[in-house]
Amino acid sequence: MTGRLENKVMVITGGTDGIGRGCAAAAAREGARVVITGRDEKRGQATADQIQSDGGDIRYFRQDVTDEANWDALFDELGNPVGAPDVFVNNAGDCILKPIVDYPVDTLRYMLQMNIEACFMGTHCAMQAMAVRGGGSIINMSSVAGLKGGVNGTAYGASKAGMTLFSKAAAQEGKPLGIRVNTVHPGLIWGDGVVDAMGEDGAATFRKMIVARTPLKMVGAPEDIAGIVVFFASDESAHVTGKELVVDGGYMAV
Amino acid sequence: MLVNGPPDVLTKSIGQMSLDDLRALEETNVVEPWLGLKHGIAAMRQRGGGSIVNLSLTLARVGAANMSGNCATAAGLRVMAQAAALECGEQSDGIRVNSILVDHQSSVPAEVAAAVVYLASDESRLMTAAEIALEGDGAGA
Repeated sequence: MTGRLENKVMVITGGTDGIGRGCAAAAAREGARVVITGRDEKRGQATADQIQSDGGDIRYFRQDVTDEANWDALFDELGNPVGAPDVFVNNAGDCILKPIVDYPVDTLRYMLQMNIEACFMGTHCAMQAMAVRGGGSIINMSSVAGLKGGVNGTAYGASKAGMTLFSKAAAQEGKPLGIRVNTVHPGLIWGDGVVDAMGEDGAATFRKMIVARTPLKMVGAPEDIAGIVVFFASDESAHVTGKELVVDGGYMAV
Repeated sequence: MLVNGPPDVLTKSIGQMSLDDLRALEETNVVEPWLGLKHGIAAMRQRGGGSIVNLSLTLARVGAANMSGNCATAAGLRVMAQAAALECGEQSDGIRVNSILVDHQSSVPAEVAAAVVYLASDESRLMTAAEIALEGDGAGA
């Protein structure tokens, strides 16, 4: 099936690698006009070039989601060559896990900045733009950690749970404007970020532990999340808002 | 016994709300109780156990228009308390962490006090990572 997102303008923050890159590639295959944002210009341009060479319509904008001024610049730039977004994916985020007694308070503030404040800014700006054009779909990338507390996750869990319930409030406010807001909750998704965060050995041990506890006995790939994001972006989900979709191989069910 | 809370409440739409509005709620409703948890757990480990109660809102479980900052911070506090409870359980340190979810419109101080006393006492010794929602109409269920 192709053309499910034909002519839709779709912005994905943190779209230069991992889950964001997987979503960008899938959206481009479905005919969306994709914009990815991220801090790393080299990686962003390389991702855009790759998806373009596969026939996708895609642009890269440099953006640091924690910088408030960057948000105005992004929406100013969008207005001109691409137009207001039909779909906005707040995907950029970060994860730092540690026991609460050893966790620095400024790292907690950084988690809140990356995972709640950036989602607030993206939703705030996208809702204004979408209200003018008569509706749209906002997709916020949460986590299974945002649904239930986990060891070493006081800060990360707080930030993802915050994003999740923020999105439910946004869905209520979006209803009269034709704007849908949903959250996606990946379990462990394998990407470069996992090894970067934990090192080769740490990542391998973590992977084994997750596989053992997951009913489907596997870890997910970015493509597993991309399918759900395409669904929430498309008109197939026109009647779905304020919902949480868990994609975790059954991890949360046991 | 440590009681964190109650949270600040702000009624504003996402369009009207500024980043500074959100940050102020995060500081009062997430960062401050988190600091209470962090230092409370460290102190209670020295003395061999204790009970920590976080006062939060039923908006931790349901979205409501013009309440996005309260929903976000209440949910953050709720999951943070669960995570801290699990960390205490893993250390077998005798510390319990629970939440009381209060309805921002209808909860009565005496009812909140009764729930706090229960969670402080040994009557609730099997309760941790749990919550008591004080919502007469069951709206948050």
